[in-house]
Amino acid sequence: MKKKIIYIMLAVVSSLIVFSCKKDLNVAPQNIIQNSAVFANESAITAYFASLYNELPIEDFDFHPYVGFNVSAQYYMPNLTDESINCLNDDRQDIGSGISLGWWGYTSVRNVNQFIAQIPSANFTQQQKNQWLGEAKFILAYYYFAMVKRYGGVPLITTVENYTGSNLSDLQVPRNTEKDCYDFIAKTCDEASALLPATSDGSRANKYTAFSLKSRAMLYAASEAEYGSVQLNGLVGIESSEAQGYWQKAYDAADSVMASGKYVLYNSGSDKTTNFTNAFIDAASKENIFVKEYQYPAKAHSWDLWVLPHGGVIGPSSGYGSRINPTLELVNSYENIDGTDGTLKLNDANGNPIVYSNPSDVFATKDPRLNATIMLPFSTWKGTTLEIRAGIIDNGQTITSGNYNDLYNNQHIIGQWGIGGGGEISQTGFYVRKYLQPATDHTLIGNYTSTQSFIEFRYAEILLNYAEAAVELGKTSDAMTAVNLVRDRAGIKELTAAEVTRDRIRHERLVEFAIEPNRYWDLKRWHIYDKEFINRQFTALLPYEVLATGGYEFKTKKVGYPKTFTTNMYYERIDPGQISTDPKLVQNPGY
Amino acid sequence: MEQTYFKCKYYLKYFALLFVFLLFVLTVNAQDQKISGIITDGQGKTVPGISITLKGTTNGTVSDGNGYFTISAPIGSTLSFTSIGYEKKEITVANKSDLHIVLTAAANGLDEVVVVAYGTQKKATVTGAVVQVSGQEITTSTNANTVNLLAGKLPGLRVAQTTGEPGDYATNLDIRGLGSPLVVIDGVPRSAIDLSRLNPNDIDNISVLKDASAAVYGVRSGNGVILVTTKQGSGKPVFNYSATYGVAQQANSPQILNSYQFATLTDESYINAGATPPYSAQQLQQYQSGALPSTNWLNLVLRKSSPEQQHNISASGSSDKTKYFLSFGYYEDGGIYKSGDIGDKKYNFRSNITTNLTKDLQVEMLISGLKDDKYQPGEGVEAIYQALWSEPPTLTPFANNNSGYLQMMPDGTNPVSITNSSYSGYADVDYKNFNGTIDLNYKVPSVPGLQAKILYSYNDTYYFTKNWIKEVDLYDYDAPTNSYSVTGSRNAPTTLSQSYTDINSSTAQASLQYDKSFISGHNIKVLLLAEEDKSSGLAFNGSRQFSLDAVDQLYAGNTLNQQINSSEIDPSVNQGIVGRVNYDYNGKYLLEGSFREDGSSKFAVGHRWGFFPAISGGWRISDEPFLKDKISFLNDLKIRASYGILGDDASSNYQYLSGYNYPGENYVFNGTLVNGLGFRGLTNENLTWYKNHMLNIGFDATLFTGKLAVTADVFSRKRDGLLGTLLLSLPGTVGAALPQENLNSDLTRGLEASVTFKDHIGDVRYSIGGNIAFTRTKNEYIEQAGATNSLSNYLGNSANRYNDIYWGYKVIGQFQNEAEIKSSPVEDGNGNRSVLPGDLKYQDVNHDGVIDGNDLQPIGKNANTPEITFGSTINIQYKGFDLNALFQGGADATVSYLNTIALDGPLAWGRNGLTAFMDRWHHQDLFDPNSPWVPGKYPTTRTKSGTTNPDYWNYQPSDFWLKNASYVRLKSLELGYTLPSSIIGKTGFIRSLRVYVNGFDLFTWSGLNNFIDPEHTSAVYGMQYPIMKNYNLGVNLTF
Repeated sequence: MKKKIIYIMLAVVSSLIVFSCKKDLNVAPQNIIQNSAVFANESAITAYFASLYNELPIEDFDFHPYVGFNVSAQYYMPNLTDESINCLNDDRQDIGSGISLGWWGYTSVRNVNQFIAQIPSANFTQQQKNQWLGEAKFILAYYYFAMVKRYGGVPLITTVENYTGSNLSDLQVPRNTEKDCYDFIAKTCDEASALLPATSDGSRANKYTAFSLKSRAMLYAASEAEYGSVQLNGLVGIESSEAQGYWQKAYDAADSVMASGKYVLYNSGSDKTTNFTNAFIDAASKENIFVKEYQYPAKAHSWDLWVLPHGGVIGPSSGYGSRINPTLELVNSYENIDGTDGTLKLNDANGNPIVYSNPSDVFATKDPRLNATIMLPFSTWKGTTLEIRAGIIDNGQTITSGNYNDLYNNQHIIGQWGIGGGGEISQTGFYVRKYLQPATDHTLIGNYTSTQSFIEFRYAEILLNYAEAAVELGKTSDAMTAVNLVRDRAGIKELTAAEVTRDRIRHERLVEFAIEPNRYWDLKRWHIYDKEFINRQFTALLPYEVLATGGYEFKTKKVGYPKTFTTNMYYERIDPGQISTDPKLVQNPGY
Repeated sequence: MEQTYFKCKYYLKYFALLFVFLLFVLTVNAQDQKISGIITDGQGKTVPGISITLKGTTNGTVSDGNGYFTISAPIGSTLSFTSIGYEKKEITVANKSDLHIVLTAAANGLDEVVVVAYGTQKKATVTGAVVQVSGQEITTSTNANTVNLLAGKLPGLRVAQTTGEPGDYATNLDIRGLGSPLVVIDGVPRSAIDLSRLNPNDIDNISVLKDASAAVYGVRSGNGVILVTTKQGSGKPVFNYSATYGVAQQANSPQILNSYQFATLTDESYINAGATPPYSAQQLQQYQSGALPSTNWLNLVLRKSSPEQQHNISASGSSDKTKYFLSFGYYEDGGIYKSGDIGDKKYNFRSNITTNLTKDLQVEMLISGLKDDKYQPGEGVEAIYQALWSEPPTLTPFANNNSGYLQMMPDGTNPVSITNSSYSGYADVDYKNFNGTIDLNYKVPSVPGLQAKILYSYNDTYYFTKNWIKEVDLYDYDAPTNSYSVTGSRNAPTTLSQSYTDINSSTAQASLQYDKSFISGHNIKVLLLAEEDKSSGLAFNGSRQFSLDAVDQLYAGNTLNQQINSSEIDPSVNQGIVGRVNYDYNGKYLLEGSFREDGSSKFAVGHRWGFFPAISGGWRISDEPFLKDKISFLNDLKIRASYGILGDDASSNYQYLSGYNYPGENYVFNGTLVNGLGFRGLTNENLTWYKNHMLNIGFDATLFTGKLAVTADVFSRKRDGLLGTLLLSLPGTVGAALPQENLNSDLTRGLEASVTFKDHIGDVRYSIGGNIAFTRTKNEYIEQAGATNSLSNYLGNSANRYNDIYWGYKVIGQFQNEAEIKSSPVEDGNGNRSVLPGDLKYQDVNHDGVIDGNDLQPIGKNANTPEITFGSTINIQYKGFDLNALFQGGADATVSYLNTIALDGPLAWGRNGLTAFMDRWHHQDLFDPNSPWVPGKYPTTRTKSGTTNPDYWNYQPSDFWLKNASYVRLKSLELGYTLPSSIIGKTGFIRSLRVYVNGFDLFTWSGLNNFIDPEHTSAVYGMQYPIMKNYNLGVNLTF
């Protein structure tokens, strides 16, 4: 009996194990969801859009040209231009060589094409589907514009391509011409604006977001036609005869946004500097057309960490900071309030240094935007005076040091935030102010702790796009109206019709958009980069205290690595790996 | 922290008391027979120096110079008599006190039983490449990590320790360089982590299956299998207590610059960059004279030696129906922070019980568990070493030397605060593991030789981590105003993160085994087995920020910004059916054939199941009439070969599934965070495991009446179906990469040999053994884009090449002067204008006057573990003394510390550096750039910026940075003395007592001495906790 029980037990258990059925192998992780489930659920569609928007190659705080998007690497765009240099010269010594800023965004293109292909057959209301389709088209146009402004013409892919095992040669596609691409972007923006509603919350696209994109893209296309040259049978460059058409499209698109009356320049207070400061951190700003929002802790960025002055009671605790040092050239380019040339007056008529009893006085007459964009020596940040001193002049003798802790007459020879001593402090004597969030305690600032929105399209750009297109089309008075709106908000003298020139409009873009990513692309599309950046070094402003009076005088010095832009860099190199898999791709000139 | 430490001591005291109590109780209960006797060999000569041990323990005595011995042992227990050169002999203690033991000269362990897959086999008939090490051989040294104790002991088993961090257990382990092996403990698949945390005193033996003999483990066997068997008891109750106390010291760890050296190099770097140096000549002098401070952060926060201790207590024995082995182990490593805030405490217990329910039915229950508590300050070891190596020595730990104000440091990492839990908080990792196995073994009475067995095992691993990171205010002192200000708050705000991970797995097995020997000399053994393994797990974590850091519990934190998340550990299931037949004729002709039909859930339906056959054979030539007794010195010679197909499913987890990963990246829509979808791209449903073809040929020989044993093996493993993608042929504009497919192949080949010689000179018995292994892997087919020209083929093709080629520039010297720089190929992209004397001069392979990617050439090997590994064990016994020494090492290895922040040059971001870099090119007069250059080993100092450098041309991969990491270590040395029974006997209750001293990683000879340890990799910038050498005093007591 006992044995029988044991036999039975053995048999049962063994068979349980052996024949526990192969179904047991059907286990799978639960974090993978199927396509059919996605297009049947509004929340899943929102999740889809979260990914598509996240992949927008917006050159925001977490963009580094050499590292990519959505990374915490010091934002670097102005360090590529005449706006600023890096405190360490460590990251890159030049402004790239045309092989670093690439974004071959076809993975993102595929994802949005897949959405465009599938949404029509999904079970939602037509109105709902139209809105989503419009949003997807805006995103598609944005992706393509990001590529075209880098490479010139790229292959236009509008369907989801699949590899069947035998269609490899069909998948190998040539580049479209740059003109084709810009026309495609214009058309796609038009389709998007037709489908999209007039309002949205600013984090998602509406009709005017699409127009804003179109105005920017068409401005670039027009510049390419006007100032570039056609190469590789139109793969890069656009016939100059097309220029007028594109200027007109840029003008019209901007006009659509302006005519809507939905956006105004931020102009809330009487103090122009405070106003321009707040324009970048007030989430309620009606100047914002399209923003990328952040949230702590899951999706924050690191802007404050990278640009605040390093150290002391200002800098982030974890070190870092000071990575963008605006140049004296940029500071000088801000006009005086009365519209005159704003070059700082450092010496008197005889060439002797002027002694300013209050060092801030040297900036007293400048465009109020300067103070809102750049932290100037001896300006105040949250109650602390930004001590930037290169040394002391005692009885005609200049005392300098490489070390903040060195004292002279029981006084620090150099300032805590420069100049001298090396390390992570400004080389130029200037720091970035734009977008900084003063509400955050400096000890709480670290990697991924900042949450101010990045403004991708703001109304001032639309006005200046309009002004530039208008000038190029000869519509001076239209240009004047638009540019003066911007100057009025800035708090500087408005331009007369005679003053409205191409150069003044370009100059206005420089100071209005300083530190924002625009300058790099403007220098490129105007095709002046290679002429202005030949082994070009930039200048620091060195304040010295005159010990006897306590006043300050200023000297200047060239600092940083020289920057050179070679003509091939107008078009980014196509990664040779891409050409090896698609032999029909033609490489850009000069690589 | 102070309080907790105190409590632990308290707890230990109780433990000690309890132990003493137990000792008395047990002593009273034990009924011992006092035994004496004489040992002789076959010729009647007395044999001294024979170890007599009580089975199931490591205790016993040694025969004296006249072959006499006395020992106390309980009646019914087993005494075993072992010595080098003699067959092991075991006797059961009866009611007889006078014994005559006759030992026979050893035929070198041919009767030894070896653990093989799903069973055991006589060593003489083994046909695979299987090596085994006993528990006793493992415990000849002391280390927290059991895997470290295996280094150098088995040919082909490669062990590379990467850190000495308490509770880290990070050691690379592989067999023949094949990848991560399957670890099986007491018949149940476990993980390598379980092996490293196993109590070495619980191990009976470890067996390593290096060839096709592993194929019966199917889809997970491709990298070989390590089989661990834990101890069983026998005989009357025996209690064993062993303990070691020791200290650990850094084995090889770099030194840092003092403030004078630091200031000198800093000035030099500024002058080289054409900038004003921050330290004046006068200041340099003051640093040199000591008028200005110099802080050695290493000495400030690290202690010279850290305490270690371990205690093991076990009880074992058997009655006529039941065998048992029960043990408890404790290990404590105090860590080298002066604060005492890093360390590890490990508790192991085990209960192995076997009992016969009926005459034919045996049940075995193995239960073991461990708890491992690792504690450390809130900052990880990497961050701490980065701070120690890089914080400027010119700073002092406290601002203005006022201990109320921690000095602000670059990056806010003040070594005093970050090594100290009372300032910066703590991170505790509580690791627990439970394993229980029950099996029933039934001898079918009607069919002699037939056994049926079922087994079920459950394993649960649980991690609980609590990371309490406290905000620490750091200050700067301003001399002119005599004021302190908070210039940094490290880790603000105070945050508590907790996480738990629970991974459980189970194994079920059912098997039938049939053994039959025929009078005609034919022997067969058949095994049929079915097995299912499952594993799954879940991780959960949450964190909150704190306004008030009085209570370090989540409930006391703020709900604002709190975070909660969980993640699933990929589930997996394996099923397999195994068949195996062993056949031999008179133990002379040996043949084994096996198969496994195995399935893995990681692949799509239709690609889950595979068939893994293996065959092996052996021929004991020495038993053939033409050899037997013909060659006097040849005792045994066996030639064997094996071939089989093994699988590896470790590389692909559910890649065949299409759809979207959720959640993917996130985005904020109008103030609301939305989880996005992750696009999975194209998937490949045909994906399946790697297929490994393993061939092994070897021989085992014993010579000179068993004194000399030689084993050698050659092997090759060809792998097909390695993952590769057709990516390179699909245009990027498609926007999706082709999925991975089973495309690539490689070939690993190598050889191993081991030699053991045992003999005696008078009373001195000794054995000396050595083993050496070599392995290297070559890519065969690699799916890759065709090269466009022969140069790109040379540089980029990886097919049919060794997989560890290190490409770089060949350094042909250092520039001696400006003239040489000007006349040499351009390497800085700037006409060599930025190059200085002392900079590296590279070979311009293509003579184009420019050093660029086209000048790269193979300059070394970048294998993490040396390709040649070796070990040598020396054992000497003399009367009661025993000495065991193990030398271990590796050759043909290189390591590069390029781009490691600190190990490739000083002053990264203006921080400190290592003293090694004082040996550099520099101007005779620091402040005079026109003074002559003084040559040195390294280029002159620049303002280094971490991994990107102004003299980046010096930091290209080159043979300058490729250091020879070959080494030999005195891995362990143990000297023991077993007290003679004449003394022990008098105590009445102690049966045996052995005292010993030992050490681990005692001496290292390598090209990297005084820089960093050769086993330290460049991972995490080389900033690991140093590898430790330790010295222990131990006692082994049986009663």
